[in-house]
Amino acid sequence: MAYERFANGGLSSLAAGISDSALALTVKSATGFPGGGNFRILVESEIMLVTAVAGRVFTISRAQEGTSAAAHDADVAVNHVLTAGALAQREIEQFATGALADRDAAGQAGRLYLPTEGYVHQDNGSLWDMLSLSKVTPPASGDFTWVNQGTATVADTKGMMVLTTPSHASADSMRCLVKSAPATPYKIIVGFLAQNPIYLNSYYVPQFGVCWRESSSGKLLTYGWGSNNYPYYFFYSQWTNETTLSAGQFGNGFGAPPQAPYWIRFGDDGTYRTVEISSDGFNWVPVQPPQARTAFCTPNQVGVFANNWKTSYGIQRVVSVLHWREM
Amino acid sequence: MIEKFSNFAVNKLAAAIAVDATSCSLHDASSFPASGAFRIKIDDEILLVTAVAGNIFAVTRGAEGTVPVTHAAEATVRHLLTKGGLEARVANRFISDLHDNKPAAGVKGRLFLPTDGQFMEYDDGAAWHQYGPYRRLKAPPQTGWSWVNQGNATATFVGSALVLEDPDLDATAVQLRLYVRPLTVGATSLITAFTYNGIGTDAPIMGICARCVGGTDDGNFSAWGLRLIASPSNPMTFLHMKHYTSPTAVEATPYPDAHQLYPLRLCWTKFSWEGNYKRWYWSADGVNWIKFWEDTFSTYNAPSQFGIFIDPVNNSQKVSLSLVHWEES
Repeated sequence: MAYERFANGGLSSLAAGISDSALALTVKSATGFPGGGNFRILVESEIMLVTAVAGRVFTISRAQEGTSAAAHDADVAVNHVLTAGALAQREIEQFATGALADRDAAGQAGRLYLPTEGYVHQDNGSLWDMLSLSKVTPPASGDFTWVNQGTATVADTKGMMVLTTPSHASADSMRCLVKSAPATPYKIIVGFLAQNPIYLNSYYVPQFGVCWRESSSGKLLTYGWGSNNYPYYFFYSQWTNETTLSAGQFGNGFGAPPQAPYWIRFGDDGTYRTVEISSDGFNWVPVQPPQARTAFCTPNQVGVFANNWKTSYGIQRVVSVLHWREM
Repeated sequence: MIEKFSNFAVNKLAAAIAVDATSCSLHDASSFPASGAFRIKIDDEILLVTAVAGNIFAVTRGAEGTVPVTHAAEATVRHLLTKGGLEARVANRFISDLHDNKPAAGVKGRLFLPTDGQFMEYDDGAAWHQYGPYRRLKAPPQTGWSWVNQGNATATFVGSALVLEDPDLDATAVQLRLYVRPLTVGATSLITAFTYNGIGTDAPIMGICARCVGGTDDGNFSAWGLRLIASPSNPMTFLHMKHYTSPTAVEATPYPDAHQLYPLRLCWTKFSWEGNYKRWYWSADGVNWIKFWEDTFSTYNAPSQFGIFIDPVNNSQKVSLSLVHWEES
């Protein structure tokens, strides 16, 4: 992408006259003008956009910024000018957006690239550095309905969907926010910010994460983070309902350190269900082999959940959902 | 209101204006921006145009240090790029305010950097797009601190971060190094965030503290921070609070038990007065809070100094803490 450029002392005159439709002009001296496009020139009262420079020959787009194309005689002045349009274009180019793959080559220090997915990038003049700010699209609580809400609450706070569950000391109770699953095949990427307030325990149930639910039977599949007597683990478990674990049907999980944010991607390709986690939101590892989409239940709902078993001292669980993207 | 520009904008006053007039009328305003804000110059006065209705401009007089004067009919009105106009335009690209005060999208290529939210946002001309997690870290104050039991500990500002460090290794008893300050009068909560290096065992080894000055509890304090659990097979960090009668003496009872609360890279804490209670919170994001502990305000001690601490007890490596956020409200 050509970049809006500026230079000092860009002042010359036409070496030869041009018509009102010419797409190139030749100046007597190109000294003082930018060495390449894009930049603006004023010839009499016509503003032109120079898109390429070859020696003294400028490739031009005519009649810019509301001016009219006109024929210009040899020897009329050609001034490089700062226009309203040039200033606006330069500002826009400081913040480009689009798919990561469509990013312009680096070489203009300072500008940001704000991709539609992934990290913000900044051009350091020769390479794009990454800023650890990920594109996120928060879910809206109005799109979800509660299953087993109890005294849990949800709020849309500062660009996040925030679940808060009070402590309940003696049993599991999965507070779920669900919506209809997309048509298969689908994948959903979810990002969380959460702490894991659990008093010392030994237990194999995730405390927050994503869920699948079969509305006809109430069966539930949960995938998320919890603790197993100290270390932090990723677990998956299956439920007859929100408070009844299906005996023996849980995974032992694997160590997963606290992160900010937590990333998970779950989907159904029409044959298999898959669940993957990520430390960065773009490199994914599966948490288990693909499961038949009808294993244990055939979910028609997707969502997020928070459990709060065995927290002590009235500690709440607060789970902030900052990203929900259906693909 | 974003600063606007147009090309070739020049015209004349249709009627004279007084020294205190807040609008002016032109013969033909079609070459000027269609709405505010933009700058014009009439004689030697720069005026800020804040609104446009046909050929009538609403103006703020005497902009950028110029002096308001009367202007005669047919005086030249010239739109121009001024120092103030360019600075305002640049400032328009980076907006900071409370999240809830974010302006509507529609100006392509600007960023919203909220003072309280979780995301940097980009305006593509149609909608805001969120990038994060982001959190503005409010610089700790650089003056007003004092040591309690300094020992060999040091406090150094690295940029805006306050780095507390103790070079001692393997002390055999608690010896907390407190770096404290009085809160601003009227403050009812204190939010902090810190990063941490080197976590010892058995007691909170670094974190925040609340200390009482004067009265029968003079010098007593509560310390809340990170410790390492000693289980050989499952070492891990968690948050723990203890009360102390001095930097080298733990209060026997009572003290809250430790909570298995896994710290993230940024450890967010909040101390808050709420009615008759003092409450301690922590957070994954510095926005949404989980209550850790509460007492009536005078229980144990009524703190008037707050700060950070580190303790090299039982430590096999140098410990340090970087305070990166200090927000009284």
